[in-house]
Amino acid sequence: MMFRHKKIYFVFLFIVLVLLVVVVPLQRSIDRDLDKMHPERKLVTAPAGEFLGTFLFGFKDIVVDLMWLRLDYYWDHQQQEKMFPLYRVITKLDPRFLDAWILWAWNIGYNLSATVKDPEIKEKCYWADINILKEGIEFNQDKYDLFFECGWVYYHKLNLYAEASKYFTLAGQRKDIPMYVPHILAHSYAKAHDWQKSLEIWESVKRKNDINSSKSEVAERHIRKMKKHIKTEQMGETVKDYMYP
Amino acid sequence: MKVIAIAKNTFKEALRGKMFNIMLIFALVTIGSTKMFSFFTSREEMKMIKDMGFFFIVFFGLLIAIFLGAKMITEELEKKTIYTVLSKPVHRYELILGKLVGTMFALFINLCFMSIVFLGVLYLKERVLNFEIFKAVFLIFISLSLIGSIAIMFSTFATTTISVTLTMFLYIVGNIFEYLKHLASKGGAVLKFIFDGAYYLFPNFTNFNINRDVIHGTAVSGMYMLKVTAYGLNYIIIFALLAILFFRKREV
Repeated sequence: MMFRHKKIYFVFLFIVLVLLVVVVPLQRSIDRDLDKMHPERKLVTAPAGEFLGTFLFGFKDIVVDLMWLRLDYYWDHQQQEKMFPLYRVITKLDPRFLDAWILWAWNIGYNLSATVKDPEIKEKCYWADINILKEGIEFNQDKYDLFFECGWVYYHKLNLYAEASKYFTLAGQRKDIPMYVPHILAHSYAKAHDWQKSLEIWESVKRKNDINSSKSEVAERHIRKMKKHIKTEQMGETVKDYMYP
Repeated sequence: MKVIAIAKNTFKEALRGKMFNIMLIFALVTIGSTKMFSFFTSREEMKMIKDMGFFFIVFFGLLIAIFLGAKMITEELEKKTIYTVLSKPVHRYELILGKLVGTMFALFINLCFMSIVFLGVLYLKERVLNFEIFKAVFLIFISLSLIGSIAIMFSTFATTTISVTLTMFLYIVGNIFEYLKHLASKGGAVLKFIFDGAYYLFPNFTNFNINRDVIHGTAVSGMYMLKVTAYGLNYIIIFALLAILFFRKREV
């Protein structure tokens, strides 16, 4: 009887050991998948947000939400200086939270820059805006939003239309893009006086829309405009001073 | 058959407890939260609602799994009801397995109820049935079943309070080992060996957390789901075997 009990005991222990050995390749394979799904896993360093996230035991999403509510409070109470460190922690905890990147960048590029008069500092604000968006893009390659926002700052604040077109093109290559993405890309090419590319974009916009829709009418109008520019250029007339309306 | 009979009884016991009250609180809080964040943009609002939903599912599920599992054997010993069961032709392993299956079933019903309410709330907001949440809920179920099996194992040799404490400790450790392993990799070889060993020895609960991926629409492959399910079931079997071993040694 004693021998039988011991035998069962060792059989059980053997099974437990075998199962524990199975865990090792399984966990390694899961780790590889997680590294692909969450590139930020490799950035765990104290005392950054990732470190804090580890010690929230799987409840970090709710903590991010509470911080986001706090940000809303600071915004309502005009305490912008307290918002920026909080944005940093939120984006560290949840780098896939698009609105956090967008609002953080927007607060610097649009709100903070509006409070300064020195054009040099203003420009620094725009570049800080772009750097934040580029950092966010690293974690959100599959979404159009941050590419678009980055392109918009190049377009609207820095007037660097070639860079803007690059980011709008990247935004357009993502899934589920709204219609204004190709529109603004076409405008960006036109601003850079690249009428041919702008025309191609408007023609593709027209093809994607119904003949009678208002979007198609907008595309039609711009196609006419671009053709006129191309014709003018081909006729050898100077277009250098021509301002795109 | 005996295992199923014990499982049924365990489930009925769970129903007699406070489980359904917790479910009701969850439903009300989740439904209430849909109005709470309406001052945000629709995307932010949806993120908040989903975060809150998953938080309540995991939090209440965790409470149920830990407390249900931890009192499983000790309460029967205190009430002396275990003697009636064991005096019948019931093996000890059948009792443990029955308790485990009953706990898992109670967790399953609880999660079904909460996810249906959650799905309904999301439908009211988005007008789309977002079945992706079930991927996350399924892995939550596996992780909670694992916690239940850990709690049952501790309850075979410790009091309810100690079982609850130890289970919570393992849950916390299982969430931070990834970080500790990362830190240890910067230390000496001995430290690295110890933490690497512990990383593979203790269940890693971060594997089961795909809530954020579901919220942000990150693709979670079927293969990943399969691997994590196998990982979770592996540990559930380990802790069930250990519970049987400990309970066989216990003098009852």
